[in-house]
Amino acid sequence: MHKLMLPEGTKVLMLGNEAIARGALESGVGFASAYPGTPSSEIIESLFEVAKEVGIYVEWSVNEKVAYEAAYAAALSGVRSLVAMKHVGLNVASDPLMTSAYIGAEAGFVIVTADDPNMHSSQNEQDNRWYWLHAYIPVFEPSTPQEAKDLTVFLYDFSEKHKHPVILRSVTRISHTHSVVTLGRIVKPKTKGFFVKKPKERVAVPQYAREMKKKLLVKWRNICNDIEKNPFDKVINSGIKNIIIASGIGFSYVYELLKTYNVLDKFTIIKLSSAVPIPRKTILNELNNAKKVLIVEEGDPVVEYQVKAIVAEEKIGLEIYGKNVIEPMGELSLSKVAKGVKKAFNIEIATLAQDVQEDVLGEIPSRPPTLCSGCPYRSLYYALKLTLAKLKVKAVFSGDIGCYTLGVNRPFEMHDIVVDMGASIGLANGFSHVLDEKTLTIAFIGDSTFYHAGVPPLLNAVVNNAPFLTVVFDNETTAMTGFQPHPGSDKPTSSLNVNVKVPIENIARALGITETYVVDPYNIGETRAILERLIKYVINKRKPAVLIARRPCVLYKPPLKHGVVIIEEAECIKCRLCYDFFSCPAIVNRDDGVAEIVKSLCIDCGACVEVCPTRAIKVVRK
Amino acid sequence: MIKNILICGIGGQGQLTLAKLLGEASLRCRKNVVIAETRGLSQRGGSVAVYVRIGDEVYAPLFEKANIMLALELIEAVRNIGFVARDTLAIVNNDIIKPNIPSVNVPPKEKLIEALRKATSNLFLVNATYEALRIGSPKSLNMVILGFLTGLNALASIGVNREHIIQAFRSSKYYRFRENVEAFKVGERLAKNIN
Repeated sequence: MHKLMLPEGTKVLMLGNEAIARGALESGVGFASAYPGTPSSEIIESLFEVAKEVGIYVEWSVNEKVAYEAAYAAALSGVRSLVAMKHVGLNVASDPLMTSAYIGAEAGFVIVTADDPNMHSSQNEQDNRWYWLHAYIPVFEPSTPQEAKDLTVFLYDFSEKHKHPVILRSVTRISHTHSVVTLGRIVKPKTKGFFVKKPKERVAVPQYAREMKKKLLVKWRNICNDIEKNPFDKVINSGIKNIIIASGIGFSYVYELLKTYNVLDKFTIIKLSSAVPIPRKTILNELNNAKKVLIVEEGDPVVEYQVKAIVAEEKIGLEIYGKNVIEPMGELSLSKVAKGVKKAFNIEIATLAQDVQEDVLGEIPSRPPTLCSGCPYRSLYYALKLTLAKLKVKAVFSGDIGCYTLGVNRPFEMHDIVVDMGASIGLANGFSHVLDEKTLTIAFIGDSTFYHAGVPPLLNAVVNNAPFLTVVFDNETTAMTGFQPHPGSDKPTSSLNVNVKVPIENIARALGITETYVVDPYNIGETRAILERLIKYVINKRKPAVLIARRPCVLYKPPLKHGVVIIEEAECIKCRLCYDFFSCPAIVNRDDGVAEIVKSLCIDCGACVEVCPTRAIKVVRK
Repeated sequence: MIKNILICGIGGQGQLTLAKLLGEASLRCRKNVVIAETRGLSQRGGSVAVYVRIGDEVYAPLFEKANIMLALELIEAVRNIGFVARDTLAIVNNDIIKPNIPSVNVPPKEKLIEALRKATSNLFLVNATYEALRIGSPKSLNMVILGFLTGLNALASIGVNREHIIQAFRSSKYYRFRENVEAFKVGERLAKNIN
């Protein structure tokens, strides 16, 4: 039986994201959508796996904006819905987010944002709790995977009660933490709804929107009052002069720390899952008699600013500590919180100092993530680098987000800028007009990223005659986040189980880009020939062109083996091409400079064979 | 009591699998367990650390000192030496994988091992890659390490015994591959030969 379907009362090891998915099932969710993004992907991934069995609709949408709007329409029609995304995904969906607050929802509508403090797999560490300020949408954050599930169930009722969207903010250490979760009862989902036509409440044109805003302000006051009853907010040891307010995952660190050092009874702890708005009365009640308060939260001082506002408005005299004693950057840790507690309250807590042997660490080489052994992207970068060298063309590489971003590292160093999804082509629309004509603009974009946000900027390039080359790194899946399907892959993107493919070349040609080619990057010779043709075309004709380099991700679909890859030692001329310029992790140099295959890493794909000038690299039959 | 286990290595070596099996084993003896993982981009051949905490009461997902370190590669073991205390049990795969950076300088193996010996008096070097390759399944190196840990019965002090780990392994999908089972047994045997 699928983990998500286990009966009520079962204790199961669950990822925070799976716990959120189960919480949605326990709430009778009928519609769920997302665009994948670390650390949020497993929410929809696990719902997708059980969708048929439960009878709900689940889809991987082309981007977060569409995912948001689709789920929102379900909620407007009386079907409980969930939309999930990584923190930066909410930026893409922020347009519907803002106005959905004006319009509200019929059935429960939960927006899950999985933030990534410390940027394990992201371009920034923005704290999405700030969105409330903009949008008038309440934000909740759990302290453990168990609470993530239970809070999700609570939020469906809360959202439905107020007929308003709610944001569930997770972080990497909730979403990607496995822990023991006790399951509740799965509720029969409602999957079909009815859309009631009431344009004055649903059509955001100025004359209606002004009324909507008035109602929104009233709604927000009601939410502020009702938040006082959130059962996931708790006051422990009420009435002590030293207070720690711990929001979300902050509570897990605070509680364990104080317990470990036997000082739990020295503090009033206000545990919050209501990050915005905070329960004003509950907090005020404690602050009135307090001397000092420390706010512990992961990310920016979102709770802290609200506490400071209360203190200022109520003219309470008290010392407030927060991000001035706990660094706002990165993730929380026990020692980080310990230092904060020490500084704020002048008490002795042994910090868990790390006595690292600096002399050893000084010599340890860093190990950034790298393109996998046999990754077709490596062959493509290699072919492009050689082509540009041959043609003596200078280029600016406008980059994007995906595994191919790793081209920024040595040996390729072929990513000059990365901003957001789809920005490679968007930026190329500007670079190609302002840079001198001898500098070629090349936009790098992945297949999933192309579908997500690459189409409008490419259309823009066509109609405005922007002369640049778009290179699509097409590995037929959303590889970095765990192989989710997209419109070009051969797996269905929704639980309806129909597979409609829209190849990228069809889109490019439909946009009017006649110079659109598809190559297999493992064929380095052919790739170079076509690249040469396209580069000359862009430079001479001053028009956009597209190259699609297609070969499946080797982790997703390992290449066919024709034998075992070996390096004939006697034939190696130590030219370093294979290990220092092609740089597959499975090829290293011996101390004498001869190339050598690392058996434990080699996948026998043979992509390197063409790279060797003396053909010392061979595929031999076993 | 809480056991903090740091599983480190290179993305793709099977740290998540190891952590999950330890978690399932702990669940079988009604322990609480919290596993903080690394997924996404960092999984692609970069340094990866997974934090496993087992005990009656566990709250925080991260820790600073490890009771046990399972390192699937030597450089990564030394990179995480800050987690190692004198009494930390360190089970380290005796294998170096060069970071995929052109002309990278890697410290000699002896120096890496010396640094680990300085940090803990409880170091075990296991030829896990070698054994896994001998079995014909380089991916099973994590199972050699799991077998070794099981052979030492290193979690017995918190009530997680050999049987719990074996039950968790047996009911997992990893047990279906003969190479994994063999690798696990090799690991157990290596541990028993030490005692």
